[in-house]
Amino acid sequence: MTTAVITASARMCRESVPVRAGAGTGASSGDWFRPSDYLGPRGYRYQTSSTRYLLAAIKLALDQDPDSPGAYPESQRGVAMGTNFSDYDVREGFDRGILAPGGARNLSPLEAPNSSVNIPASTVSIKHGCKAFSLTLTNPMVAGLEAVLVAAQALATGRARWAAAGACEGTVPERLGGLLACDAGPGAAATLILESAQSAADRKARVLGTLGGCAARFWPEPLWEGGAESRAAIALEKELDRLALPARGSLALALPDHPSAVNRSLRDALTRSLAARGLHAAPVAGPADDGRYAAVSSLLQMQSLLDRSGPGLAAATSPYGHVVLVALHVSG
Amino acid sequence: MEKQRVVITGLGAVSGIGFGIKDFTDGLRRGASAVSKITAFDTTGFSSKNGGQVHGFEPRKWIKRQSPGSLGRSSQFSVASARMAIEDADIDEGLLSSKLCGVSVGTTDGESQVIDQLTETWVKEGMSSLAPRLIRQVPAHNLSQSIAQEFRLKGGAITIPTACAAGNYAIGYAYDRISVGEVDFMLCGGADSLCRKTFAGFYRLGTIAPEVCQPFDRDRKGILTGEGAGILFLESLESALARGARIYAEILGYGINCDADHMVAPNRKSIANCIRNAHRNAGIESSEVDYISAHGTGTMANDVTESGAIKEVFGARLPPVSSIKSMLGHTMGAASALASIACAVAVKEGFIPPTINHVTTDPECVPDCVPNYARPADLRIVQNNAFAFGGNNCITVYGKLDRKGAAND
Repeated sequence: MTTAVITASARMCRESVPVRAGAGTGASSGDWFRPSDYLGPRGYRYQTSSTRYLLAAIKLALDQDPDSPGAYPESQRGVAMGTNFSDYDVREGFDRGILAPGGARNLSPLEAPNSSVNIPASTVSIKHGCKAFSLTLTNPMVAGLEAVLVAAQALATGRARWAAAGACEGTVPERLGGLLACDAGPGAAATLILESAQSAADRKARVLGTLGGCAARFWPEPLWEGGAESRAAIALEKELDRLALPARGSLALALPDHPSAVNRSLRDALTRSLAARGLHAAPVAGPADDGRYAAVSSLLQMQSLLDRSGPGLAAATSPYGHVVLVALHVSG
Repeated sequence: MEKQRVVITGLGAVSGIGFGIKDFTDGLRRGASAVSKITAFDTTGFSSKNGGQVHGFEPRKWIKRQSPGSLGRSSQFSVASARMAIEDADIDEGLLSSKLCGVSVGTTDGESQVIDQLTETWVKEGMSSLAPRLIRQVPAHNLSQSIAQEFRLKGGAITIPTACAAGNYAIGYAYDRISVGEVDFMLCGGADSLCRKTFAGFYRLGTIAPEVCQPFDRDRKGILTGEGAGILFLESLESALARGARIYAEILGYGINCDADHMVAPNRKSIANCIRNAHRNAGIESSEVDYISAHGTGTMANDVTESGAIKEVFGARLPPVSSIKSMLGHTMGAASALASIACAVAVKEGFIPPTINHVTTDPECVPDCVPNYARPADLRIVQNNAFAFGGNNCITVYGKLDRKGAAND
């Protein structure tokens, strides 16, 4: 199987507004994102805010490596994105338009595609000529890491040699915020550029990190009953064996800190299990560790793993029991 | 690591032409129609009012461990189809729970019917009137999660919302996971329910037919939206043979790509490339394909574009091509899953489902759309086309098991 490496990493969120040469100065707390700073003067009028954040994050990632993705044919470039809420405002707008006087005539055909949640990923595909695949995932809180996992699997099976894996959200509607395990935040996006290790080596790309094993499981709250003896904790041991973590030493751990029971249980089990393996878990902080950015949160924190050398483990949970684990190694 | 061969050993369908694999298969043979006046939402103000609505669905028959009222309609379809597939596979639920069984479900709209309901309440009565029970039903991940919860499955639960090709994406994902040995079993497919948002969206794009769906017909007028779910139970060939399971078909592989060209217009060259990808991944030549289950929406653009791509790849040797959307309407994320189920029973039972409502073949389309009546046929290899908004294409390839020498029952 082909190993995947990370060759660029970027994000667009209020807590860490990047500074771009030529960008305007409007990034105050109430106006932190101006699409024209990143996307040019036009072309995004009918795009949702989550799509704009995502395109900006991708732009920043590609700025880090001007040869990417052009080093690969379009048929070898893919996109995998996670999102929980990208389409909600459009969908509700449709319904409200239909219910208003004038009915369906209130709907704009130009906005019709935006009611489909896969449109942010496909917008990236169109803009950057990514024809290998365009995938969208939507599990709560974990979809960003799932996108990394699925993109890495696609590279491993030869369906692509380059992939943009990431997540995006618009502002989470107030009435849906209760579906998260924390207070809902504004929109954000994050992306990692993945390449097959051999291809990246062939073109002498700068490698930020190397992905190891990945796992996606469903361990809801009842499976965690019994602590170290619980069925989930026992299953976690098997997964950690499969991830081929280092034998001992320090392991950087990225796990958002939202207060769901599943998240607490996984944190406890990981700490216990890693210690038993002679590994010291060193938590890393991201720009918003409480999960407020829904699908983007876990990816924001995973990006923080790239700031320190050595082995790392990115983990994420949903309040319902979804668990995703992604191992990686960052060279010094 | 050597890849494992993956087979289909259980099928479950909720559709407008029948519940469960027996009724669904009978409906395909008869060329039954699911089309009726839509009652799922108010169609006042729309000049088209028909759809492939599912009538008489009783979720309590299939949902045992969860309160059916706690789930939206798409999730109810999803769980019901999964139970049908498990029963059809004749496998013990306890075994599924103790081993690693994953879930992958594709969808276009998730629980849009719930969003329709919430928005209407919000507009008419204010936000304070929104029922928390309904809010909890909104997220699309419920479609896969509800299956995992119903059957206590631990092998992951993923919802893939890649619009109208999502069912095939979910099947492809499941195929990959079993073929590399990551899980023992997968329940995969797609689900969607009729909703005002999608109906209105297609209506504004001018693609809703006034009465019936007529794929490949010279006088076709567009799609009819529909609803339902199709779930397939997958396992490795080794596992199926060891437990003496009935095998419908083998998944030989799948092709996937993105047009990266236009949000809604289909792209002939890209579809042709996706067909070639699928054949390459399945290790077959185009000349080996005995039947194509078309995306076949009944729009002017899709049917000409899809036909052109098929002609480009298959040349003079065109296999029969039919569209079950003529019977079911366009069931969105469920469409390619239900079509995959149709492919599996077509291979197993030796017939090609028809394209109903057919009068005059469009000379720009495929010449043989199996008009109006099912056709007996010994099918060795079949392919199932699926395309979606965003340029998302996914084509699955299924084969009769004994083509590579393994025994079948």
